[in-house]
Amino acid sequence: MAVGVFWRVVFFAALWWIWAGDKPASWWFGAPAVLSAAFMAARRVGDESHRVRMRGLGMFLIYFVRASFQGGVDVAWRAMSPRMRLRPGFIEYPLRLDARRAPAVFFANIISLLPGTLSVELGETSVMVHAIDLEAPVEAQLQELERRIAAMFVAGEGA
Amino acid sequence: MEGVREALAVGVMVLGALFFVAGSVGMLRFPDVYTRLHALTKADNLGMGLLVFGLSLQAPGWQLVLKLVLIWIFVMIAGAISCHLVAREAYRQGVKPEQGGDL
Repeated sequence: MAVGVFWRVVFFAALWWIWAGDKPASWWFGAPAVLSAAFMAARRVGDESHRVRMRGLGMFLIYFVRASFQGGVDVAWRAMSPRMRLRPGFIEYPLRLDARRAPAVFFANIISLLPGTLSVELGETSVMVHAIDLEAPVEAQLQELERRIAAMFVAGEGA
Repeated sequence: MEGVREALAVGVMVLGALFFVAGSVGMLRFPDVYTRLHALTKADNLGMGLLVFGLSLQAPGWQLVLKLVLIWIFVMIAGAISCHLVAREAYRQGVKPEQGGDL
């Protein structure tokens, strides 16, 4: 717990510094905010820890930027074309990641930013996904995302 | 060189603004809550990314670039989470999605 709080203080202080700049007076508000945020985060999430592979992270960022681009272009094109081509519907995607842990939550959030998919509910063994075009290879795309996230995180100690 | 950078920055930001327009058009035209969320999250994520990129080209120092990128990340987090919450609540209340075809 103590170690968790320490690193969170460092992390949140860095965020505050980036936002507020180096005006000393900003810390009158910033220091209490950083400390309370660190304590609340440590209490809420506990000591679950995951190491992130740098190589996996780099690969993931490239993939993410590319997919964000495709996602934005895809939905903008559908919105602007006179005949909107939509074949929406739900897909239940079986999770390989452990639904209670951070990588699965990360997965569910990224789903909504990628082309044509939106996470609706994170269940215990699956994610309910809404797809804007059921004829697109939605399942294959989700598998690729899940594989890339699994490659980025290394499971650590903790509850 | 400075002129090229300036032109690139403006071009990228105009493109970003167009994605916000497209996202808003999608929100108005799409048939149900789920498809409208698609329009908002994806188009805005890309539009915001392009705006941040354009502004970064004009930024006077690296600290400002860091701040802009951080803003982009937090807007994405907020967008993804709020979108998920709206979709989940609609799903739990039993809102049926449109079945589609060419609408």
